[in-house]
Parts: sequence; C-alpha cells; structure tokens
Amino acid sequence: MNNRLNRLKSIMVLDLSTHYSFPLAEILVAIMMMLSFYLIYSNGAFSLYFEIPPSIPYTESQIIVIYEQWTSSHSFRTLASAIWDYSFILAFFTPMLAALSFGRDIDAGTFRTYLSYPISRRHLFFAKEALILAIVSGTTSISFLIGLLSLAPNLEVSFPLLLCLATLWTPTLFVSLATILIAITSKSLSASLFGGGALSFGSVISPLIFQSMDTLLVAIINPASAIMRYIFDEYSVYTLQSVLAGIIISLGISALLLIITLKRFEAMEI
Amino acid sequence: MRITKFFIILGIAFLLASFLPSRSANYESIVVDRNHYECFLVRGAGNLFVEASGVEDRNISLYVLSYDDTLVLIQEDSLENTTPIFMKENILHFSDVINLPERDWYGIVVTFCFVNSSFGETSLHIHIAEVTPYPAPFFLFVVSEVLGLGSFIYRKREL
Repeated sequence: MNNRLNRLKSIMVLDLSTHYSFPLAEILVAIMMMLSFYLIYSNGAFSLYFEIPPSIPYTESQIIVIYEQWTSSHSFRTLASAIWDYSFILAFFTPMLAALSFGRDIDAGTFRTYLSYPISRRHLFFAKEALILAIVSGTTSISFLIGLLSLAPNLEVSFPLLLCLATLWTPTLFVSLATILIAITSKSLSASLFGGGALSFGSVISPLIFQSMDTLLVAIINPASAIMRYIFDEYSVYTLQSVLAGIIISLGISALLLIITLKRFEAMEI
Repeated sequence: MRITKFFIILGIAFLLASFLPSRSANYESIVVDRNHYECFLVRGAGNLFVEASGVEDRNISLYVLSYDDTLVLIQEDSLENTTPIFMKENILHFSDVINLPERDWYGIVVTFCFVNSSFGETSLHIHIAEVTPYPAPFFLFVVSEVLGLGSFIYRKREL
C-alpha cells in the first residue's frame, strides 16, 4: 500500500515539475482561490430589501415566512450562485489541464519516457487525473468553504450545501475523462484541447440556450444550472429529486467513461 | 524551495482577494410613501459603510436594528417596541462607518421626517458597503506569508 502511494506521489511530483512547472500551478491555484472568494463575496452581500408596508400586498404571516426563508437559505443561495458563475470558469480550465497533462504527453512522446520508469500505466493515469481534480476542484472547494464560513461562522453544513460543493467535482470528472479519452483516441494535443473544450462549453451553455431542457438532463450535463433551477422553483422537492438523480447518473456515466478510458489507456500503442 | 514560492504567491492572492470591491448594495431613487420605512437586510460584522440621503434635501432618520427587532418592525409596522443598535434622526445626509457588534443579520432602516404634511412621497439614495480588507482572506494572507517565510528560513538554516 505504502509502495503504491509512493509511486502515485512520485508521478504527481514529476508532473508538477514538468506540466505544472513553476509558476504555472501556483498561478492557477491563486486564480482559482481569488475567483472563488470574489464570487462568494459578491453573491453573499446585501441580498434582501424590504419595503414596509410592502408594495405587493402580502399578509403579515407571508412577510414573516419570506423574511425567515430568505435569511435561513442565504448561505445556500450564495454558494449556488457562486458555483453557477464558477461553472463557466471550470469549463475553461478542466479540458485545458486534461489536454495539457495527457494530450501533450502522448503527442510529444513524453509518455514513452514515463513508461521507462517502473510505474504501471494505471498508476500514471490515476496520479495525473488526481492532480487535475486537486488543482481545479480541490482548491476551489476549499476556498468556497472558507469564504462561506467567513460570511456565516455558525454555518451548519447541510445537505444542499454539500450538494453545491459536489457540483464542483462531477462536471470536472466527466469533462476531464472525456478529454483524456479524446487525447488517447486522437493522440493529438490540439484535438484533445478543442474536443474537450467544445464538450465542456457545450454542456455549460446548452441549458442557457435550450431553456425548456428537462431538469434531469440539465443536472447530468451542468449540475450548477440544475441547482439554480431548484432555487427558482422555490425549493420544490420534485426538482431536488431530479437534481439528485441527474448527479447520480452523471457519476455513473463518469464511472463508465473511467473504465473505457483506462482500458484504452492500458492498451494504447506508443 | 518551491513550497516557499507557493505560499508567497498564494498569500499575494489572498491579499488581493481581501481587497476585492464586491460587497456593496446600491439603491437609487426608491420612492418612499409617507410613513413608510425602507429596510435593507445586511449580513456582516465589524465596520459597515453606509451612505443615505433623500432627494430635495428632505430630512431622514437612519436606524440599525438587530434580526429580532427587524422582525418586530415587520410585524408591528412601527419602531416603537424596538431598541436600535445605532440611530441618527432628523439629518439631511448620512455618510459614515457603522460598527456591527457580531456577524449576524441586521436591518438598516431609513425613514423620512416629514415636516410638511403635504408631501405625499419622495425618493431616497442609499449605498451600503463592507469596509475592506475582509478579515478571512486577510488572515489567510498572513498565515500563508508566515508559512512561506518560515519554510524559507528553515531551508536557509538547513543549508
């Protein structure tokens, strides 16, 4: 077990000093952190305005319900809006890193050098994929959580908040695996970069273009948009079920993609 | 040596994040009926910059209420049974920093002092912003820089 972990660590260190050589990884992490903080702070500011008596004729009990609902769901709304904005940034960075990490290695022949080391292809694959997930989703998840805790120190980490954080991982996993599969199939950096980019932006933009798209499908391709729909639908249980089902299906597709990609990666001729 | 550079660059990112101009609320020309209150719910702690003025030099009053008192205001439609944390009454223009005791929800309430009863309605400008630097990223900046410099000194000593 220790030996395996050491192998994974050594590939990650090697990747950090080649693909993410100084200061590329540092700048990427710094950009991710800054954007996460900015989005949390800009979305978590002064979000409620009351006119008393209100211009829309609410009953007194309705106003109190609105008041309590808005204040109690503030953290969830803040994180959901920030993650929705962030999905566009993820759509840019994920295919780019996956294409650089895999596409460039295969295209430039660096992969042959890797195979001369006593490292299995499976270890190589998992170490590189873990590094992409850590840089893109790991750093942003941590900074979103710190930003949110600084807004609401008594924050109870509830199920909807965890769901929001999960949406930072599922599209990254799906898009990175798809980009890697393109890289393995085409053995070209440019094909994986453009293919992964098109897939990534397509999945982010399509819920905006096709507004009538079913929430289940939206949750599969862009879960952040599905969570925004859940808020617009006034926290309907039916929408939440669709969001959850979509995320689970998305994970299932990613698992299938992982098996196919790994098989192709192990059988790939260099 | 890379870990030193990593912490220093990360610290700079946190420093920039702590000064990002994002948390503000701007409301222009809100029409206020006679005897109406305008209440802005804010969540924060520490210093909060508030700027409020009525059009045509009409006098205003500004109150800062706690979460529970804001609920009382909504229920009773009156400030009578509330204890404002901060208040300024009968002023033309307000532009100052208000200190909020702890991180919580607060109601910033603005109302007009109608001297002449013939005034039916008027409008209001209000701007609310949290004073930078934000404490959390600034704290992380200090931690990152301490770690970066600490690892730098440690390496130098080892050599």
